[in-house]
Amino acid sequence: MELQDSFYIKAEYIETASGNKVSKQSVLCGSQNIVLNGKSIIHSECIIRGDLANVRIGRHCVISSRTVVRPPFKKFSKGVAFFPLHIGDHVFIDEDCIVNAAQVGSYVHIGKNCVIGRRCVLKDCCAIADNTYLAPETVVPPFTVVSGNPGAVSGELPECTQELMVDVTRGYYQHFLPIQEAK
Amino acid sequence: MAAKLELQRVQILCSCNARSPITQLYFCKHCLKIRCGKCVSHEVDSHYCPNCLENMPSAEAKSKKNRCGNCLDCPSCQHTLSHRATSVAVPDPRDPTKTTTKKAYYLACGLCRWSSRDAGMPDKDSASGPWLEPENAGARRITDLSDYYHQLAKQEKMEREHKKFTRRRAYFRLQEKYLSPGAPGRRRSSALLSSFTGLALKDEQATIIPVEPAVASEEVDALPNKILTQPVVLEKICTIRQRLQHPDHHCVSVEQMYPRHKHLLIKRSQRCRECEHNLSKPEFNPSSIKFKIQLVAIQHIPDVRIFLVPNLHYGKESIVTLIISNPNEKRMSIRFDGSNPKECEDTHATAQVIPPEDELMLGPKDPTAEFDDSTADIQYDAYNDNTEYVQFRKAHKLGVLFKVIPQRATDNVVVVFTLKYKYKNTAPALNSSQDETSSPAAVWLEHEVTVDIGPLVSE
Amino acid sequence: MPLFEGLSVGVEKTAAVFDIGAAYTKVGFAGETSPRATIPSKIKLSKTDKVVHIWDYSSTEELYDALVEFLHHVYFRHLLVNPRDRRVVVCESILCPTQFRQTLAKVFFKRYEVPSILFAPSHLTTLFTLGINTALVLDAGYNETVVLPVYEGYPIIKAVESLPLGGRAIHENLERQLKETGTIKENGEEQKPLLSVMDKIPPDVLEDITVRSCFMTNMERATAIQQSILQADDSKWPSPAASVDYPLNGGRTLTMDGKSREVACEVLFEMDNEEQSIATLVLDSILKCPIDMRKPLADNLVFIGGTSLLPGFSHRLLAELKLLLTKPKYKQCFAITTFKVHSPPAQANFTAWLGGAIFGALEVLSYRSLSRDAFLQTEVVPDWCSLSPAITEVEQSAAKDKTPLKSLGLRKAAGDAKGTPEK
Repeated sequence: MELQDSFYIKAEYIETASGNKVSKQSVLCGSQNIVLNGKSIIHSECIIRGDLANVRIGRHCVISSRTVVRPPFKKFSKGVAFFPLHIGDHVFIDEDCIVNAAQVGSYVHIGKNCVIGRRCVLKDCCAIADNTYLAPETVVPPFTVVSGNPGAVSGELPECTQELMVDVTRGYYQHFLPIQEAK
Repeated sequence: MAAKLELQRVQILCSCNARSPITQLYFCKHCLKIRCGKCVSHEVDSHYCPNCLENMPSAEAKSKKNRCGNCLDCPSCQHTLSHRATSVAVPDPRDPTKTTTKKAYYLACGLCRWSSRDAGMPDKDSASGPWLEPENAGARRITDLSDYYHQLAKQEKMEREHKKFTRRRAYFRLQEKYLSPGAPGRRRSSALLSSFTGLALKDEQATIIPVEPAVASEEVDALPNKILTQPVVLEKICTIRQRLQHPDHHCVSVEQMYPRHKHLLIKRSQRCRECEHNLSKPEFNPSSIKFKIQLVAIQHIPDVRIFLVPNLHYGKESIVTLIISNPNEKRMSIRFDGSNPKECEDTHATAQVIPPEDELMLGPKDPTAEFDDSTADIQYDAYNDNTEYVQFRKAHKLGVLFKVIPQRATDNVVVVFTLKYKYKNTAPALNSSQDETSSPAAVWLEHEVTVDIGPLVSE
Repeated sequence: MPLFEGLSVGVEKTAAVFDIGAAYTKVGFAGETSPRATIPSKIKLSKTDKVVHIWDYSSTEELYDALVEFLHHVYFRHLLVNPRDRRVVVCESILCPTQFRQTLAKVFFKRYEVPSILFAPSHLTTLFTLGINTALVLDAGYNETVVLPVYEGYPIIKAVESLPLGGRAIHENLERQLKETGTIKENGEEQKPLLSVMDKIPPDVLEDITVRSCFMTNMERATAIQQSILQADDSKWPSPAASVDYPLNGGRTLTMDGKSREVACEVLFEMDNEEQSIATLVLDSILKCPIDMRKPLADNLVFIGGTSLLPGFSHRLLAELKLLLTKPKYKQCFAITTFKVHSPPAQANFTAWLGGAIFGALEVLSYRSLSRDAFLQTEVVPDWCSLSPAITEVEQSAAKDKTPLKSLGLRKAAGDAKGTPEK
């Protein structure tokens, strides 16, 4: 199935110079610490906590509605420190997720309703199935599918995952078209 | 992701007559055939730990029994354990009256809060280094038995060698001639079972050190009374999954559980069964997603995707748009064949399909298109598209119109057609090296595509 | 020549040992003391995304597909080796259906191209873990309990006895008990009978309850319980064990009566209409053996199989045997007065696997295995119950090297050009 066009009301999204489309209903705290590398889409009601630490999101990423992207913290004897969160290119995050990972690689697909525990490391080309809970400090190797509660390796991804993710995210961006609000 | 795009609806027939979506297929450019996961042979390429992502040479993996040296699993939830440090007050070795703080390391699980102290493991002084593991009680007995049977086996082997040489004598040949008709008969009953009986101690061999045979006892442990009287604390008893993690020790209670080293994962490489060439070979580095060899179908054969599906009615002709995309950076010509292929007795096709009759041209794939926003200016007039067959054209994709007539009133509408395409073989084939000098030959390849268009609209 | 042979055998890789049971599969390498992995005999099919049991098949194709994916999972997630390089030892029950054995051989040889397979009866391999030649082996598995006597290394096949009473029967009995007397408490509400909340208890919950809280009660209590049931008199019931609160998904707690804990396993010893229980299996099997063998067999009992790990199993079984000896059916045939039980150096659930591993490490493995060439010639696994001559030994076929059949086999082997043919 080729992706169909999905439409958004032009007034509800801000389009930046580098082609990022950010919904006005999303909450971007500390936006000076948030870097969107280009052509990324952030849907409504997302929360990105740039006030805690730097958040860097790569190109052609899609962060769907009601997702929370929050940098993880680490407890030290002298207090708490927040670590920066890097998300790679061509990452597709579905709805209702909570991402507390330390690092998300490129070409990753995170399913609906997932909870990525704190300081998790998701390498490139992995997939997290729907409704997964990833325990804190889990490392997800490339080309694996993780599912369940707590998340365990449950499958493998084909070798062409990188191409597939590039195709999907790029196609999604191209088909994400503005319409004028009907008065 | 393949599920998101519903790629299962388009399936391609591979050379072993199995249907799979294009993401799971490989393309052998030496045999020019499509291979699926079942018609390639899988091989273990390299081992790595899923936690520390460290590559492990296969010899080391073998000696460590496929377990990582550094990472340990929680015995209770199988999550990775992390090293934690606390400082303990320890009497100073130089001055017994003062106390200094020293770091003591222990293991703890972030998920279920198990810690190495629960198992009674003592804290360690340094972060690296081995953690204590309990011994296997039966191991020595098993090695004794093993050695004994090895001796018997060696003896049998030597007898066999001896027999081989002495067989040449005529006397034995005569004996064999008379014995051989009976031999199959003798072997008739329990041929396999009686073959085990060879391993028995023969009286002449005094050099074999016998092992102590097991002693049976009349007394067995009775049911402990406390099962009947004491209440059951379920949290303290191991589940079957936790018990199976430690086959060497009998863990019934949670305190007996010890952490195990993390099991490794492997990277696999695929090899075509017919021509023995590698179809997919990943890099050694576990974190890397690149491939040394990557002959996946999606990069070599045109992809078919469903684009527009109108309402489908039984018996009525509808027009469906399928998008064919070109994987190459050069133009590719394609043709279709809607007649049912000969071996389609088990045809899944529930509809008749009339694909375009003309030869169509697919545009080249432009790798810089991602960064270049001026794709709208490309002129497609040069292609002379017949609007009867082509709905639209965009870069390397082509929207093609197919006429579909559902033949069955129920079921999903499934069409089967053959897609033919001109493939430029870039790999120099061995047998054509004498004929061709510079330009690789372009051949017409074809494969069968099964498309599940969707359900019928009920009248 | 013999020198080279010795060298080549010396560097051969260790064989892979499989024990594909009805509930759990034990896999590992020969020469090791315990299996690398014990995994449930289930696999998630990639086509349908459903989990199927290996032994629940309705056609050969289904079994073939399930076995292909299952062995793929075993080789590339647990053993982490190339299937082509290692010989295979499969510990199986002697009553394994031929269809299963054939399909398994086909999957191994055709799809994974292993060099050779040895199908080893699990009752025989158990003896390797003990160092004796005579024993009566009782395998209490999931689907069934099979008893087979082995005398001086020879299995007495005519004396094989089996009953479909095993782990599965215990689970079903437990489910029945729970449906009668179990109660569920949901989130602070009051206790409700189980049937009002759920009509089926998931099998993994049943397994967990059985493993963690059920036990096999001793003889006195069992007879008292039986009396109590027969006379429908609750007062005769000996004081039960404590009840168990088992947490279920969704905030529910299942309360199990102490009586159910004890009675669940009784199904193994209840005499049904034909007056058979697993204790009678042992005696019937001994009765079928010649008289001289009976005493040595009774002095060498071995219990293997996962179900025999239940607390109190051996003690109760011995007590039942002693009681049965006093019954008229068995009294007149016996001079046996005592029963003795062995304890193998491994846990009962992988004793058969361990025997296979000990045997698999020996050099004579190649002599007794079915090689790939031999299988590809006939596509039939020689079975102890089939009458055609076995082509197990390579030497035997090498002697007939002038026959056209053998030369066909050689040509085929050359055409395949995989793995080194055994020489």
